[in-house]
Formats: sequence, structure tokens, C-alpha cells
Amino acid sequence: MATRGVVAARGAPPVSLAKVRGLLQPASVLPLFLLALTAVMIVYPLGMVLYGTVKDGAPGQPGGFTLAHWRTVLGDAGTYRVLLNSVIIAVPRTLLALLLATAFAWCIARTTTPGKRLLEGLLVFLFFLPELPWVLAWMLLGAPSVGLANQWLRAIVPGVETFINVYSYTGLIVLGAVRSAPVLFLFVYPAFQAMDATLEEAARMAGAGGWRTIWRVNLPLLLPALLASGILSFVVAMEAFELPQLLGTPAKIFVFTTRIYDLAYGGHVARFGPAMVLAVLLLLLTVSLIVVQWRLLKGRAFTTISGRGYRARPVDLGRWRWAPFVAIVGFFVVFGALPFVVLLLNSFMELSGFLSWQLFTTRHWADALGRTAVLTSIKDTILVSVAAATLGVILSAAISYVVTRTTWAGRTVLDLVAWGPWAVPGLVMALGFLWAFVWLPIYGTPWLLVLVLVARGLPVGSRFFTATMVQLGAELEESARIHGASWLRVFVRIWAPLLRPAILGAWILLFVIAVRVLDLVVLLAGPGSRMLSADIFFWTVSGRQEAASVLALLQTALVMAGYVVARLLLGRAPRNAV
Amino acid sequence: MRRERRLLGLVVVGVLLALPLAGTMAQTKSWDETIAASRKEGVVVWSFFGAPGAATERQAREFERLYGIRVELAPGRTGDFEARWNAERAAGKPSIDVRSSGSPENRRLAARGLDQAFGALPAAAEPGVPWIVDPLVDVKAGNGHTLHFSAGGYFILVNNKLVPPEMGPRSYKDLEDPKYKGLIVLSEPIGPSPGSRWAAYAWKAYGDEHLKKVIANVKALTRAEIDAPKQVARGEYGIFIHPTQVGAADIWKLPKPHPFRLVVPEDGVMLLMGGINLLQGAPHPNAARVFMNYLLTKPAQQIQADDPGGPFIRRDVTPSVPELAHFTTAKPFPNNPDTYEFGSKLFFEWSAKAEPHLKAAGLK
Repeated sequence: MATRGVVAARGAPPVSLAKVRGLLQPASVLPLFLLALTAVMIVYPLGMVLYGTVKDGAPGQPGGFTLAHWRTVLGDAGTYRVLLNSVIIAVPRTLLALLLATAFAWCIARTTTPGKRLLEGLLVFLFFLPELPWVLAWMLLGAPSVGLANQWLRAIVPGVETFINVYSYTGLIVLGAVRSAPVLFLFVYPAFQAMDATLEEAARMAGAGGWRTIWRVNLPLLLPALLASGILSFVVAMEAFELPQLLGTPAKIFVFTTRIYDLAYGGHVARFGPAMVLAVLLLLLTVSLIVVQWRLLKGRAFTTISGRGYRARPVDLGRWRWAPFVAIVGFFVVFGALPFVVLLLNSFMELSGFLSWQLFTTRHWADALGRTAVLTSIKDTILVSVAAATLGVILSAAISYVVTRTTWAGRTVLDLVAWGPWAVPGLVMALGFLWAFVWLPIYGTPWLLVLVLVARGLPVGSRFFTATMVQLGAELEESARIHGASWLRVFVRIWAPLLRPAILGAWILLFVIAVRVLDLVVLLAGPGSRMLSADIFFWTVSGRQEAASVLALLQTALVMAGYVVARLLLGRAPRNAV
Repeated sequence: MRRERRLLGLVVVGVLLALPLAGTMAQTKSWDETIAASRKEGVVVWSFFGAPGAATERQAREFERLYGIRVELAPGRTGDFEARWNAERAAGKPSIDVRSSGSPENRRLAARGLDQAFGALPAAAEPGVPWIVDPLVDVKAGNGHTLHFSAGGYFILVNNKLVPPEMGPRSYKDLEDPKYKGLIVLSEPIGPSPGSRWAAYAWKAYGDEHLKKVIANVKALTRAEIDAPKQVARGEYGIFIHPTQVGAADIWKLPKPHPFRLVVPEDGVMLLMGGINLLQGAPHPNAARVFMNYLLTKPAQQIQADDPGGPFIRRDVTPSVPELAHFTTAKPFPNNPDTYEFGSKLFFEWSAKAEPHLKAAGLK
């Protein structure tokens, strides 16, 4: 009021200052800042990918405008064949992963299943296992006839040559779903925990049976989380590379990403143009799916946490309560413990894949732990991943806030842009990042990796926060505002405590992604920054899988340490954090 | 007059004798200057195909100890290297000095004029070195600036249980026999893979029909060439076309008697030379030259030979597993043309001959 008086005395219209002050409020500046930031971090690299589809030659190299790459790809029957193969694998993989994740989350969050903390920990551990060595372990276990699992099963049931064949569509679908399920669990689990049990009770009191309650109450409330994670899972399945490359190619199963790899890395000359056209086709597919998601969710309300308080009373399973416990532990033993043990044994074998006391050695461990290069990789990996996860959480939370809690006109664009880094296969997105950021002074330093890993994690981080935020009622925020709290105070006092489980979950997810991500790191990690994931990849492809197993175990230990530290730091977080 | 002529003759002879010495002195002086300049640069960035192995890391350490010049290792596939190097050049800040790989990749770099002359290297002119292949074969022929520093060979790997010794095969030609149907795993003929090399050589030697018959016997393609020997040793496949000596060295660690055998084909060994190029715009050209020279020296070559199955280019080193270094004495495959023209052009044309047969067999 005093300010207005001073300004008025100087002759300036008071309304202008109010407008300026209004524009400078965090709530007004934030959306524009985020849009600018994501434009640099995501749209610009994606633009380089698009540019690559119509340019004859790599950016900066001689060459003109051309549509030849598009003609080549669209005129090739092989494009449609690999697209069909990818969909044939991705759809059942996604559905199976969603089914598993939802069932696990429901059992742990909403029923009287015993050992919830243990089960939750086992599923999180599955997520921690690095993909490449995990797939290699399954190649040892599930190779037709000679695989270890086949040999063990043959000893129990003689006469059958092959029980498991990982080199097949079934292998790709099941193992892919198993990889996705723990991630989806982390998405769906908080949503189940946030669900108000009074709604279920009301449905039951109105005469609805168990299935009807799930169908009419639980599922609609879970729709945002299910749709977001389902789309994410489908996109991940479409752009999966290690699994189809290692298990699909020997079975003559070729998919979108193996085709992209052939073009960009497998040929006599790198054909980045056609590879980028394929990537853009995948981008278009993802955008279409997101639009479908918007349409499905439009006009619906998903608020389950409001100012009235809420209860989350578990469903009593009676004598069946041990069934989910056994099922989840069994799932963990088969898909987590077994490959982990193979990985561990592998690291003590002279030769990977041959488990025998005659080949026992500790030299891979001594070699790895005694190498300065490995210790440097561990240090760089920790620094880069902690920075990327922390910045990623801040940025993701801010984006989700703008998308879900404001009426800003550009929020849908922001939401769409945040998907970008996962809508394009990592093999190609890495090129987009490279071409976009090679000009920056941070190129060749660990900061470039932090930047691209933050961008890479945004789709996951923002989905995570969005799924939680849509369940939070507006009255808490409105009440605080009415009582004169500033935007920042509202964020710190209202939002931060409510979002603490999501913050913890998102941080762990982004940390794990940063530690494990491979495609970006292989291309962008310079001599000034080493990452364990790149070391694992190069050691694996050059045949030093025993040593790679050591690094993979170190990597697993690293993500587990990150998980423990995060939980300790946010130790007072409610139970619905991962 | 006669005395003067004799004196003149002596002078001429003296000058002629002194010339090479003067040349050597000038070269030595020039090389010393190169070393001094390289020390000022202080670092060399070495990009290579694959992962840093025991040999590359040892060579880097040893080079640093000898010259006080740090070696930064930059592993990468062909696509990684090209993408990164092109982008860096476009931004005006290339970071890589030298690129080493299989000779087809190096020769393609040379054919596109992306490398530069590295000048005289003392180690390449060392008298009496029994080279397997002249490291300067391309340079001397005016075909770019690839320096060859290794020569490796391929085998046929056979599982003893699935394909007993009496069943063969003894040669590449034998592989077209229908009795091997469903037993063969073939390195996918794509890019500069071992399978591409087989397809190129086999097509040139035996023609289209041979490729067709062998591919009809193939059970699966693999892109994990390093893993395939282990799969054969475990009995997943009967025959692998075809392992490098490095891949075979892995399974050599298995207890004897081995469940597999390495067949040195009677129709000859297919060779693969490894090359290195000094890249255009290299930020540390002197350090790069000194490093390239070092790679040809006996100590550096011995480090390569110490790696089981590691390829080398000097016959005066001692391989740690002699059975895997057969290429030094083996008969070369017919028309074994690892020449500049083959590496830069024909390799790609000839290996593509396998494509229609792979498609017809449902393998692609």
C-alpha cells in the first residue's frame, strides 16, 4: 500500500506496477522459465534429429536439403515389417507388465499381505539390476537345450530337451515385461496408497461386490497412473534395444531399434539420416498416444487427498493373505535372485558362462578394485548421477506443478515436450544431444552428461509427480493462499510434505536411470568423464564379461547405496515412498 | 691427372657414403624435434574400435612412461566415432588425434581424405624387421595414410560333440555340405563384421552358389561375435563362422581336453589387418606421430602378442598362445586381397552378395 502511494505520488499509474509485480511472481515466471529451459534441453536436440532427416550429411558437414531419407525409409517394406514386429512385442509386454505391477501394488498397498516392506524392497531391488548383464545372465540360463535352467529342469523332468527358450517372441515379451514391471510398480504403488478407502467402503455398502468395486472405483481412480505408466512402458518397449539385439537377432526377430542400429552403427558407413526418420516415426506414434491419454482423462477428477483427511484401510484377504507373499517372493527368486547369483558366480569365473570350480578366480575383483580407471568411473558416476537426479526432481516437480495445478495456456505444450527424450530411441536421441550441445563450453565435461541425463529423466520424473499431484485437492493450497501465504510458502509448507513420497520415489528413479543409462553415455562421455555403464558396455562387447559382471555388481551396489541414503535423508517420509 | 681423378672419385664415393648418414642424421634431428614438440602437446587422444583391453591400457601406460605424454583412450564403434568426430569438427573443436580399427574402416577414412600424412617414422624404417605385412604398404602405393600395425587371422570353430572330427569340416569349401544344415552360427554379414569378411572372400573365391549353399546350412546369425565361441563351446551351435583369434583365446582358458577344436582351413586363412590413421585437424599431431611410431616398436608389439590371441605385425615377437597365432605361417586364402582397393571399396561390394541369400533363407 505504501509502495502504491509512492508510485502514485511520482505520477505512474499504480495498476502498471501491480501488473509488473504480478508478472514477476514465481507462479507467473515459472511456466515461461520452464518452457524456455525445456526448449533448450529437449526441443533443440529434437530439432537436430528432425533436421537430420532432411539433410544430406551430418550437421555441419557439407550437404543440402533432401527427402531421400524419407523416401528410402517409407519405400522400404522392411520398415513396416519391423514396425509390426515391434508392436507385436510391445503390446503384450506392456499389458503383462501393467498387470504384474498393478497386482503387486494392490497386494502390497491395499491388502493384508504380510511382509510388505520386504516385498516392496524385493521389487525395488529388481529395478536396480542393470539390464545388459541381466540379459546376458538370462542367455546363460535360458539358451535352448544347453541353458543352465534347461539343464536343471531336465534333471527334474527327464525327456524334454528345452523348457525355456529366451531366443523367441515369448522370451522377448516375458523378459521385457519383467524388466518393466518394477518401474511401473513404482508408478502405481503411490497411487494405490493415496486412494481413499472410504470410497471402496461406500461402494461395498451400496452393494457392489469385490470385482465391481475394483472396476468402478479403483480402476477409474488409478486411470492417470495406469495410462501414464502404460504409455511410458509401451514407449520403452518400442525403443528397447539390448533385449531384441541379444535375444531377437539370433531368432531372426528384427524390430524398430535393431533396424535403427543397423543404419546408424551396423553398416559400412553410418546412415544417420534414415535412422533418424525411423526415430521420428516413433516420435509421432508416441505423440499420438499422449493425445489419446489426454482425451481419455479430459474432464475427469481424480482427487483422493483433500483437506478432510483420508484413510487407507487395507482389504482383508483372510487365509489367502500369504498367497501374494509367495507369488512376489517367487517372482523375485526367478527373475531377480537367479540372474543375480549367475552374475555373481560369473564374476568369480575365469570364463563367463562356464560355472566350474576349476575356473574359480578372484582376479577379476582384484583387477577391477585395483584399477584407477574403475575408481574414477565410480566417482564420476556418483557425482553425475546425484546431480542429475537432484536437478531432475526439481525440474520434474516444477513441470508437473505447472501442468496439473495452473491454468497457464501453454501447459499442455510443456507436458508434451517433457515426453520428448523418451519418445525417440536413445540411440538417435544421443545424436540429437551431441549435435545440439557440441557447441557448448561444457561439451567434454561431466556437466554435459548431467544436462542430458536431466533431460532423459524428465518423462519419468514428471509422470511420477503428475500421477501424484492430480490426486491432491486444491482446497489446501487455496486455504493457505486465503490466509496470506506466498506461493513459495505454499510450495514449501503444503506441497513439499505432501509430495515427499513422490520426491523420494522420483529421486531414486532418476538416480537409477542416471547410473544405468547407456546409449547417451557411450556417445557423450568424454575423456573428462567416465561412467560405469559405458565401461560395462565396452567390457561386455569386447568379451570381458567376467570383469563386466564385477562392474555390474558394483553398479548394483551403487544404486542400492543411493536408495538407502535417499531413504535416510528423507527418512520421515510416509510409507508410500518407494 | 690420374691422381686428381682418383681424388675426385674418392670424394664422390665419400659423398655417396655420407648421404644416407646425413639423411639419417637429418631424420634423427627432425624426429628429435617431433618428440620435443610432442612433449609440449603433452597428450594424445586415441580412438579405437571396441573396449580398452589389457594391451591398449598397457601400451598407453608404457608410452606415457617412455615419453611423458598422456594417452587418453576413447573407445567407440565406427558410428560413435564418426558421429562424434564429425560433430566436433563442425563445431571447430576436434578432440581425437588417431583412430585405429580394422583396415576397411581405416581405408575408408583414407579414401575420403579424412586422414593426413604422418611423415617418416623411424620404427617403420628399422632395418631387418620381419614384418608380416609392410606397415607402409598403403602409403608407399600412394593410397592414403593408413599405418598398419597388426595382422590377425580367422579360424573355423567347431564343437566336438555336435560335429565330431571325422565329420569335418576341413576347409571353407566343405561348409557347403548339407550335412552341416542347422549346425552353423554365422557372424552377421553387416558392416565390417567377421561375417562380412567371410562373405566377401568366399564369394570372390567360390562364387554365388557357394554363398547360397553355406547360408542354407546356417541356423542363426549373431552380432555377438565375442560370445559366439562360448556358445559353440557350450554346445549351442556346432560351427561358428568365424571367430577372430581374440574370441578363440577366451575359450582357450577352458580346462583341457577342450570341447571344441579350431580348424585352420585347408583352403587358407583369411587375414585382417589393423590400421591407424592420423586424423585431419588432430589437435596433437606430433604426439600422435610419436605414438604411431611407438606402436610399431618391438616392445609395443610384444605387448599386443602378450594378450592371448592378440594380433601383431612383427614376426620377431613371442605370442603367449602360439596355437592362436597360426597366421604367421599359414597359407593365405585364395585371392586373399587385403589391399587398399579391397578395404576401401570391394570389401563392401563383395560382402553385400550375401544379402539376397540371407533374405531367401529367412535370416534377415
